[in-house]
Amino acid sequence: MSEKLDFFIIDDSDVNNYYTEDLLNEFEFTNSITTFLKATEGLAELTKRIQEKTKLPDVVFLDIRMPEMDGFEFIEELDEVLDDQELTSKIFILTSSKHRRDVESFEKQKIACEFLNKPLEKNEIISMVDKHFS
Amino acid sequence: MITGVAFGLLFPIIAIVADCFFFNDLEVTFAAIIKRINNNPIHFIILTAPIILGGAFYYIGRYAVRQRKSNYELVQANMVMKETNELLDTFNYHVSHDLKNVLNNQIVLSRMMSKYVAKNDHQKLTEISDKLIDVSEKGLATVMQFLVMSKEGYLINAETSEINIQAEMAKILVENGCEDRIKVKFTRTDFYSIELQRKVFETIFVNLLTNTIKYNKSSPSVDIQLIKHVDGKQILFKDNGIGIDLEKNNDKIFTPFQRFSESSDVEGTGVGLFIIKKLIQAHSGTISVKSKLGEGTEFTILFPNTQN
Repeated sequence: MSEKLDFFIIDDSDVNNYYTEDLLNEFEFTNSITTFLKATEGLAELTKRIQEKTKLPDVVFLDIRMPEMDGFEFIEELDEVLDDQELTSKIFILTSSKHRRDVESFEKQKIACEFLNKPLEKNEIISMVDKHFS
Repeated sequence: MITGVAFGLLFPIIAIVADCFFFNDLEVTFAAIIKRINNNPIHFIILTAPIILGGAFYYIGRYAVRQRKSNYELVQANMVMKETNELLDTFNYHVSHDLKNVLNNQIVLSRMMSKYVAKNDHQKLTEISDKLIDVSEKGLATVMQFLVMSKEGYLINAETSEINIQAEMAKILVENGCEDRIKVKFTRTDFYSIELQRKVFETIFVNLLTNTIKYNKSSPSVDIQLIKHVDGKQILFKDNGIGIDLEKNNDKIFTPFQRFSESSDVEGTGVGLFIIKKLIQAHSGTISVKSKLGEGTEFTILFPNTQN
Protein backbone atom coordinates (compact mmCIF):
# COMPACT_ATOMS: atom_id res chain seq x y z
CA MET A 1 0.00 0.00 0.00
CA SER A 2 1.37 3.32 -1.05
CA GLU A 3 -0.38 5.75 1.28
CA LYS A 4 -1.75 5.67 4.78
CA LEU A 5 -5.50 5.83 5.23
CA ASP A 6 -7.82 8.44 6.71
CA PHE A 7 -10.98 7.16 8.39
CA PHE A 8 -14.32 8.75 9.21
CA ILE A 9 -16.62 7.02 11.69
CA ILE A 10 -20.22 8.25 11.72
CA ASP A 11 -22.15 6.65 14.57
CA ASP A 12 -24.22 8.01 17.44
CA SER A 13 -22.86 5.29 19.74
CA ASP A 14 -19.78 6.75 21.38
CA VAL A 15 -18.87 3.34 22.77
CA ASN A 16 -18.74 1.84 19.32
CA ASN A 17 -16.63 4.75 18.09
CA TYR A 18 -14.33 4.30 21.07
CA TYR A 19 -13.82 0.65 20.14
CA THR A 20 -13.47 1.13 16.39
CA GLU A 21 -10.98 3.93 16.91
CA ASP A 22 -8.99 1.79 19.33
CA LEU A 23 -9.01 -1.08 16.84
CA LEU A 24 -7.97 1.05 13.85
CA ASN A 25 -5.12 2.55 15.86
CA GLU A 26 -3.51 -0.88 16.03
CA PHE A 27 -2.80 -0.80 12.30
CA GLU A 28 0.23 0.70 10.64
CA PHE A 29 -1.84 1.88 7.70
CA THR A 30 -4.03 4.15 9.83
CA ASN A 31 -3.20 7.80 9.32
CA SER A 32 -6.11 9.59 11.00
CA ILE A 33 -9.50 8.81 12.51
CA THR A 34 -12.30 11.35 12.80
CA THR A 35 -15.52 10.45 14.59
CA PHE A 36 -18.92 12.08 14.22
CA LEU A 37 -21.78 11.41 16.63
CA LYS A 38 -24.31 12.90 14.21
CA ALA A 39 -24.83 12.07 10.55
CA THR A 40 -25.48 15.76 9.82
CA GLU A 41 -22.03 16.69 11.13
CA GLY A 42 -20.33 14.01 9.06
CA LEU A 43 -22.30 15.13 6.01
CA ALA A 44 -21.37 18.77 6.56
CA GLU A 45 -17.66 17.89 6.72
CA LEU A 46 -17.81 15.70 3.59
CA THR A 47 -19.83 18.32 1.71
CA LYS A 48 -17.29 20.99 2.62
CA ARG A 49 -14.42 18.85 1.39
CA ILE A 50 -16.21 17.89 -1.82
CA GLN A 51 -16.95 21.54 -2.59
CA GLU A 52 -13.48 22.74 -1.67
CA LYS A 53 -11.98 19.75 -3.51
CA THR A 54 -9.75 18.95 -0.53
CA LYS A 55 -8.71 15.46 0.52
CA LEU A 56 -11.63 13.17 1.35
CA PRO A 57 -11.30 10.35 3.88
CA ASP A 58 -10.38 7.02 2.31
CA VAL A 59 -12.88 5.08 4.39
CA VAL A 60 -16.18 6.08 5.96
CA PHE A 61 -17.83 3.74 8.46
CA LEU A 62 -21.51 4.64 8.59
CA ASP A 63 -24.08 3.52 11.16
CA ILE A 64 -27.75 3.20 10.12
CA ARG A 65 -30.00 3.87 13.08
CA MET A 66 -29.21 7.37 14.30
CA PRO A 67 -31.58 10.09 15.48
CA GLU A 68 -32.26 13.11 13.27
CA MET A 69 -30.65 11.67 10.14
CA ASP A 70 -30.12 7.96 9.65
CA GLY A 71 -27.48 6.27 7.51
CA PHE A 72 -29.61 5.96 4.40
CA GLU A 73 -30.79 9.56 4.59
CA PHE A 74 -27.12 10.46 4.84
CA ILE A 75 -26.44 8.50 1.64
CA GLU A 76 -29.32 10.21 -0.19
CA GLU A 77 -28.10 13.66 0.84
CA LEU A 78 -24.53 12.81 -0.11
CA ASP A 79 -25.74 11.56 -3.48
CA GLU A 80 -27.29 14.97 -4.12
CA VAL A 81 -24.15 16.80 -3.06
CA LEU A 82 -22.06 14.62 -5.38
CA ASP A 83 -24.33 15.30 -8.35
CA ASP A 84 -22.80 12.56 -10.56
CA GLN A 85 -19.22 13.15 -9.41
CA GLU A 86 -17.38 10.00 -8.43
CA LEU A 87 -16.87 9.61 -4.68
CA THR A 88 -13.28 8.71 -3.91
CA SER A 89 -14.09 7.59 -0.34
CA LYS A 90 -15.24 4.03 0.26
CA ILE A 91 -18.34 3.94 2.42
CA PHE A 92 -18.99 0.92 4.61
CA ILE A 93 -22.30 0.47 6.39
CA LEU A 94 -21.50 -0.62 9.95
CA THR A 95 -24.56 -1.58 11.92
CA SER A 96 -25.59 -3.85 14.76
CA SER A 97 -28.21 -5.76 12.82
CA LYS A 98 -28.65 -7.11 9.33
CA HIS A 99 -32.39 -6.57 9.30
CA ARG A 100 -34.27 -7.22 6.06
CA ARG A 101 -35.36 -3.58 5.83
CA ASP A 102 -31.78 -2.37 5.97
CA VAL A 103 -30.47 -4.97 3.53
CA GLU A 104 -33.17 -3.90 1.05
CA SER A 105 -32.28 -0.24 1.44
CA PHE A 106 -28.60 -1.12 1.04
CA GLU A 107 -29.27 -2.96 -2.22
CA LYS A 108 -31.19 0.02 -3.62
CA GLN A 109 -28.42 2.56 -3.11
CA LYS A 110 -25.17 2.84 -5.05
CA ILE A 111 -22.82 4.79 -2.80
CA ALA A 112 -21.95 2.42 0.04
CA CYS A 113 -19.89 -0.54 -1.11
CA GLU A 114 -20.22 -3.03 1.73
CA PHE A 115 -22.55 -3.90 4.56
CA LEU A 116 -20.70 -4.83 7.75
CA ASN A 117 -22.02 -6.03 11.05
CA LYS A 118 -20.89 -4.71 14.41
CA PRO A 119 -18.62 -5.30 16.09
CA LEU A 120 -15.98 -4.67 13.47
CA GLU A 121 -13.39 -7.45 13.48
CA LYS A 122 -9.64 -7.14 12.93
CA ASN A 123 -9.60 -9.55 10.01
CA GLU A 124 -12.51 -7.74 8.39
CA ILE A 125 -10.51 -4.54 8.40
CA ILE A 126 -7.48 -6.30 6.95
CA SER A 127 -9.43 -7.94 4.13
CA MET A 128 -11.28 -4.68 3.47
CA VAL A 129 -8.00 -2.80 3.10
CA ASP A 130 -6.53 -5.58 0.94
CA LYS A 131 -9.53 -5.52 -1.35
CA HIS A 132 -9.93 -1.79 -1.83
CA PHE A 133 -6.53 -0.19 -1.18
CA SER A 134 -3.70 -2.51 -2.19
CA MET B 1 -87.42 2.21 -9.77
CA ILE B 2 -90.89 2.81 -8.31
CA THR B 3 -92.41 2.89 -11.83
CA GLY B 4 -90.75 -0.46 -12.47
CA VAL B 5 -92.15 -1.99 -9.29
CA ALA B 6 -95.61 -0.54 -9.94
CA PHE B 7 -95.59 -1.92 -13.46
CA GLY B 8 -94.42 -5.31 -12.17
CA LEU B 9 -97.21 -5.44 -9.59
CA LEU B 10 -99.91 -4.18 -11.96
CA PHE B 11 -98.84 -6.35 -14.88
CA PRO B 12 -100.96 -9.44 -13.90
CA ILE B 13 -104.09 -7.26 -13.66
CA ILE B 14 -103.36 -5.56 -16.96
CA ALA B 15 -102.76 -8.98 -18.52
CA ILE B 16 -106.13 -10.37 -17.30
CA VAL B 17 -108.04 -7.29 -18.35
CA ALA B 18 -106.41 -7.43 -21.78
CA ASP B 19 -107.21 -11.12 -21.99
CA CYS B 20 -110.86 -10.42 -21.18
CA PHE B 21 -110.99 -7.75 -23.88
CA PHE B 22 -109.75 -10.11 -26.55
CA PHE B 23 -111.47 -13.37 -25.63
CA ASN B 24 -114.59 -12.43 -23.61
CA ASP B 25 -116.03 -9.90 -26.07
CA LEU B 26 -115.12 -6.93 -23.87
CA GLU B 27 -116.83 -8.41 -20.82
CA VAL B 28 -114.80 -7.51 -17.72
CA THR B 29 -116.78 -8.98 -14.86
CA PHE B 30 -115.48 -10.99 -11.91
CA ALA B 31 -116.96 -14.23 -13.31
CA ALA B 32 -115.40 -13.55 -16.70
CA ILE B 33 -112.04 -12.96 -15.11
CA ILE B 34 -112.22 -16.26 -13.17
CA LYS B 35 -113.18 -18.00 -16.42
CA ARG B 36 -110.21 -16.53 -18.28
CA ILE B 37 -107.87 -17.59 -15.52
CA ASN B 38 -109.24 -21.14 -15.54
CA ASN B 39 -109.01 -21.33 -19.32
CA ASN B 40 -105.43 -20.11 -19.57
CA PRO B 41 -102.97 -21.46 -16.96
CA ILE B 42 -100.45 -18.77 -17.91
CA HIS B 43 -102.42 -16.41 -15.66
CA PHE B 44 -101.50 -18.48 -12.59
CA ILE B 45 -97.89 -17.95 -13.43
CA ILE B 46 -98.35 -14.26 -14.14
CA LEU B 47 -100.36 -13.74 -10.94
CA THR B 48 -97.93 -15.53 -8.68
CA ALA B 49 -94.84 -14.12 -10.39
CA PRO B 50 -94.66 -10.86 -8.37
CA ILE B 51 -94.91 -12.78 -5.11
CA ILE B 52 -92.33 -15.42 -6.03
CA LEU B 53 -89.94 -13.01 -7.75
CA GLY B 54 -90.39 -10.42 -5.01
CA GLY B 55 -89.58 -13.03 -2.38
CA ALA B 56 -86.62 -14.27 -4.35
CA PHE B 57 -85.20 -10.80 -4.86
CA TYR B 58 -85.82 -9.96 -1.23
CA TYR B 59 -83.73 -12.94 -0.17
CA ILE B 60 -81.02 -12.23 -2.72
CA GLY B 61 -80.91 -8.61 -1.54
CA ARG B 62 -80.69 -9.59 2.09
CA TYR B 63 -77.93 -12.05 1.31
CA ALA B 64 -76.02 -9.39 -0.62
CA VAL B 65 -76.31 -6.88 2.21
CA ARG B 66 -75.05 -9.45 4.71
CA GLN B 67 -72.26 -10.44 2.40
CA ARG B 68 -71.26 -6.84 1.94
CA LYS B 69 -71.29 -6.26 5.69
CA SER B 70 -69.15 -9.28 6.39
CA ASN B 71 -66.87 -8.27 3.53
CA TYR B 72 -66.53 -4.86 5.10
CA GLU B 73 -65.77 -6.43 8.47
CA LEU B 74 -63.19 -8.63 6.81
CA VAL B 75 -61.53 -5.66 5.16
CA GLN B 76 -61.52 -3.82 8.50
CA ALA B 77 -60.03 -6.81 10.31
CA ASN B 78 -57.48 -7.14 7.56
CA MET B 79 -56.48 -3.52 7.94
CA VAL B 80 -56.09 -3.86 11.70
CA MET B 81 -54.02 -6.97 11.12
CA LYS B 82 -51.85 -5.20 8.57
CA GLU B 83 -51.31 -2.30 10.94
CA THR B 84 -50.47 -4.68 13.78
CA ASN B 85 -48.10 -6.56 11.53
CA GLU B 86 -46.36 -3.40 10.48
CA LEU B 87 -46.09 -2.34 14.09
CA LEU B 88 -44.68 -5.72 15.05
CA ASP B 89 -42.22 -5.54 12.19
CA THR B 90 -41.13 -2.08 13.28
CA PHE B 91 -40.94 -3.32 16.87
CA ASN B 92 -38.81 -6.24 15.75
CA TYR B 93 -36.57 -3.92 13.72
CA HIS B 94 -35.91 -1.64 16.65
CA VAL B 95 -35.55 -4.39 19.20
CA SER B 96 -33.00 -6.05 16.99
CA HIS B 97 -31.15 -2.77 16.48
CA ASP B 98 -31.31 -1.31 19.95
CA LEU B 99 -30.82 -4.45 21.97
CA LYS B 100 -28.10 -5.81 19.74
CA ASN B 101 -26.43 -2.46 20.02
CA VAL B 102 -26.32 -2.78 23.80
CA LEU B 103 -24.91 -6.29 23.63
CA ASN B 104 -22.42 -5.34 20.93
CA ASN B 105 -21.21 -2.47 23.04
CA GLN B 106 -20.73 -4.83 25.96
CA ILE B 107 -18.82 -7.25 23.75
CA VAL B 108 -16.47 -4.61 22.37
CA LEU B 109 -15.79 -3.11 25.78
CA SER B 110 -15.06 -6.55 27.23
CA ARG B 111 -12.70 -7.24 24.35
CA MET B 112 -10.94 -3.97 24.99
CA MET B 113 -10.69 -4.87 28.65
CA SER B 114 -8.87 -8.10 27.96
CA LYS B 115 -6.58 -6.28 25.54
CA TYR B 116 -5.63 -3.66 28.14
CA VAL B 117 -5.37 -6.19 30.96
CA ALA B 118 -2.65 -7.84 28.90
CA LYS B 119 -1.00 -4.44 28.52
CA ASN B 120 -1.46 -3.72 32.22
CA ASP B 121 -2.88 -0.28 31.43
CA HIS B 122 -4.88 0.57 34.54
CA GLN B 123 -5.96 4.01 33.46
CA LYS B 124 -7.47 2.64 30.29
CA LEU B 125 -9.10 -0.20 32.22
CA THR B 126 -10.86 2.19 34.59
CA GLU B 127 -12.10 4.19 31.63
CA ILE B 128 -13.44 1.07 29.91
CA SER B 129 -15.12 -0.36 33.00
CA ASP B 130 -16.90 2.97 33.59
CA LYS B 131 -18.22 2.81 30.06
CA LEU B 132 -19.23 -0.82 30.54
CA ILE B 133 -21.30 0.04 33.61
CA ASP B 134 -22.94 2.93 31.78
CA VAL B 135 -23.76 0.80 28.72
CA SER B 136 -25.24 -1.96 30.87
CA GLU B 137 -27.43 0.43 32.85
CA LYS B 138 -28.74 2.08 29.72
CA GLY B 139 -29.30 -1.35 28.22
CA LEU B 140 -31.43 -2.33 31.17
CA ALA B 141 -33.50 0.84 30.74
CA THR B 142 -34.00 -0.01 27.06
CA VAL B 143 -35.19 -3.51 27.90
CA MET B 144 -37.61 -2.10 30.48
CA GLN B 145 -39.09 0.24 27.89
CA PHE B 146 -39.65 -2.55 25.42
CA LEU B 147 -41.22 -4.64 28.16
CA VAL B 148 -43.68 -1.87 29.01
CA MET B 149 -44.62 -1.74 25.35
CA SER B 150 -45.42 -5.43 25.15
CA LYS B 151 -47.17 -5.29 28.52
CA GLU B 152 -49.56 -2.59 27.40
CA GLY B 153 -52.53 -4.99 27.24
CA TYR B 154 -51.79 -6.25 30.69
CA LEU B 155 -51.59 -2.71 32.04
CA ILE B 156 -55.00 -1.84 30.65
CA ASN B 157 -56.70 -4.98 31.91
CA ALA B 158 -55.51 -4.53 35.48
CA GLU B 159 -57.89 -3.28 38.14
CA THR B 160 -58.45 0.44 38.51
CA SER B 161 -58.42 2.36 41.75
CA GLU B 162 -59.06 5.91 42.91
CA ILE B 163 -55.68 7.62 42.63
CA ASN B 164 -54.84 10.76 44.55
CA ILE B 165 -52.92 12.61 41.87
CA GLN B 166 -50.68 14.81 44.01
CA ALA B 167 -49.75 12.02 46.42
CA GLU B 168 -49.09 9.55 43.61
CA MET B 169 -46.95 12.06 41.72
CA ALA B 170 -44.81 12.66 44.82
CA LYS B 171 -44.43 8.90 45.23
CA ILE B 172 -43.37 8.46 41.60
CA LEU B 173 -40.69 11.10 41.99
CA VAL B 174 -39.24 9.43 45.08
CA GLU B 175 -39.42 5.92 43.63
CA ASN B 176 -37.56 7.02 40.52
CA GLY B 177 -35.02 9.04 42.46
CA CYS B 178 -35.95 12.33 40.78
CA GLU B 179 -37.41 14.28 43.69
CA ASP B 180 -34.37 16.59 43.74
CA ARG B 181 -34.02 16.81 39.98
CA ILE B 182 -37.39 18.29 39.10
CA LYS B 183 -39.87 20.75 40.63
CA VAL B 184 -43.53 19.82 40.31
CA LYS B 185 -46.14 22.51 41.05
CA PHE B 186 -49.91 22.10 41.04
CA THR B 187 -51.31 25.52 40.11
CA ARG B 188 -54.94 24.50 39.78
CA THR B 189 -56.83 21.64 41.41
CA ASP B 190 -60.52 21.45 40.48
CA PHE B 191 -60.34 17.77 41.37
CA TYR B 192 -57.89 15.65 43.33
CA SER B 193 -58.24 12.07 42.23
CA ILE B 194 -58.84 9.98 39.16
CA GLU B 195 -60.00 6.42 38.58
CA LEU B 196 -57.19 4.61 36.77
CA GLN B 197 -54.87 1.65 37.00
CA ARG B 198 -51.98 2.63 39.24
CA LYS B 199 -49.45 1.23 36.75
CA VAL B 200 -51.02 3.18 33.88
CA PHE B 201 -50.88 6.41 35.84
CA GLU B 202 -47.28 5.72 36.78
CA THR B 203 -46.22 4.86 33.23
CA ILE B 204 -47.78 8.03 31.82
CA PHE B 205 -46.21 10.37 34.34
CA VAL B 206 -42.83 8.67 34.69
CA ASN B 207 -42.46 9.11 30.94
CA LEU B 208 -43.56 12.75 30.95
CA LEU B 209 -41.44 13.64 33.98
CA THR B 210 -38.29 11.92 32.71
CA ASN B 211 -38.77 13.65 29.35
CA THR B 212 -38.87 16.98 31.15
CA ILE B 213 -35.64 16.10 32.96
CA LYS B 214 -33.87 14.62 29.93
CA TYR B 215 -34.75 17.36 27.47
CA ASN B 216 -33.91 20.36 29.55
CA LYS B 217 -31.17 22.93 29.59
CA SER B 218 -32.13 24.78 32.78
CA SER B 219 -33.46 23.38 36.07
CA PRO B 220 -36.43 21.16 35.16
CA SER B 221 -39.83 22.21 36.45
CA VAL B 222 -43.42 21.26 35.68
CA ASP B 223 -46.67 23.12 36.14
CA ILE B 224 -49.69 20.83 36.47
CA GLN B 225 -53.31 21.95 36.31
CA LEU B 226 -56.22 19.66 37.12
CA ILE B 227 -59.23 21.16 35.36
CA LYS B 228 -62.77 19.88 35.73
CA HIS B 229 -64.79 20.05 32.50
CA VAL B 230 -68.41 19.19 31.79
CA ASP B 231 -67.27 16.27 29.67
CA GLY B 232 -64.36 15.04 31.74
CA LYS B 233 -61.21 15.53 33.75
CA GLN B 234 -58.36 17.38 32.13
CA ILE B 235 -54.74 17.22 33.20
CA LEU B 236 -52.49 19.95 31.86
CA PHE B 237 -48.78 19.15 32.05
CA LYS B 238 -46.55 22.07 31.16
CA ASP B 239 -42.77 21.85 31.37
CA ASN B 240 -39.84 24.21 30.84
CA GLY B 241 -37.83 21.82 28.64
CA ILE B 242 -36.19 22.45 25.29
CA GLY B 243 -39.46 21.92 23.42
CA ILE B 244 -40.19 20.09 20.20
CA ASP B 245 -40.33 21.55 16.71
CA LEU B 246 -43.94 20.64 16.01
CA GLU B 247 -43.96 22.15 12.54
CA LYS B 248 -41.37 19.60 11.55
CA ASN B 249 -42.49 16.67 13.69
CA ASN B 250 -46.20 17.11 14.30
CA ASP B 251 -47.37 13.88 12.70
CA LYS B 252 -44.54 11.90 14.24
CA ILE B 253 -44.65 12.89 17.86
CA PHE B 254 -46.81 10.00 19.06
CA THR B 255 -45.51 7.37 16.63
CA PRO B 256 -43.15 4.74 18.00
CA PHE B 257 -39.37 4.89 17.62
CA GLN B 258 -39.35 8.55 16.67
CA ARG B 259 -36.64 10.73 18.08
CA PHE B 260 -36.23 14.35 17.28
CA SER B 261 -33.27 16.40 16.22
CA GLU B 262 -33.24 18.24 19.52
CA SER B 263 -32.79 14.93 21.30
CA SER B 264 -29.80 13.45 19.52
CA ASP B 265 -27.49 13.95 22.51
CA VAL B 266 -29.86 12.18 24.87
CA GLU B 267 -30.27 8.42 25.29
CA GLY B 268 -33.69 7.03 24.48
CA THR B 269 -35.64 4.53 22.42
CA GLY B 270 -38.37 6.85 21.20
CA VAL B 271 -41.30 4.78 22.46
CA GLY B 272 -42.36 6.79 25.53
CA LEU B 273 -44.98 9.09 24.00
CA PHE B 274 -46.32 6.25 21.87
CA ILE B 275 -46.93 4.16 24.99
CA ILE B 276 -48.59 7.09 26.75
CA LYS B 277 -50.96 7.70 23.86
CA LYS B 278 -51.92 4.02 23.63
CA LEU B 279 -52.63 3.85 27.36
CA ILE B 280 -54.74 7.02 27.33
CA GLN B 281 -56.65 5.92 24.25
CA ALA B 282 -57.42 2.61 25.91
CA HIS B 283 -59.34 4.68 28.48
CA SER B 284 -61.16 6.58 25.70
CA GLY B 285 -59.02 9.56 26.63
CA THR B 286 -57.11 11.92 24.41
CA ILE B 287 -53.69 13.53 24.56
CA SER B 288 -52.53 16.53 22.58
CA VAL B 289 -49.39 18.58 22.58
CA LYS B 290 -48.41 22.20 22.17
CA SER B 291 -44.77 23.13 21.98
CA LYS B 292 -42.31 25.67 20.74
CA LEU B 293 -38.57 25.13 20.46
CA GLY B 294 -36.89 26.62 23.48
CA GLU B 295 -40.13 27.38 25.26
CA GLY B 296 -41.15 24.06 26.76
CA THR B 297 -43.87 21.59 25.99
CA GLU B 298 -47.49 21.40 27.13
CA PHE B 299 -49.43 18.14 27.14
CA THR B 300 -53.21 18.16 27.56
CA ILE B 301 -54.72 14.88 28.71
CA LEU B 302 -58.48 14.47 28.86
CA PHE B 303 -60.25 11.51 30.44
CA PRO B 304 -63.97 11.62 29.54
CA ASN B 305 -66.64 11.29 32.23
CA THR B 306 -68.01 7.94 31.06
CA GLN B 307 -64.70 6.55 32.17
CA ASN B 308 -65.19 7.50 35.80
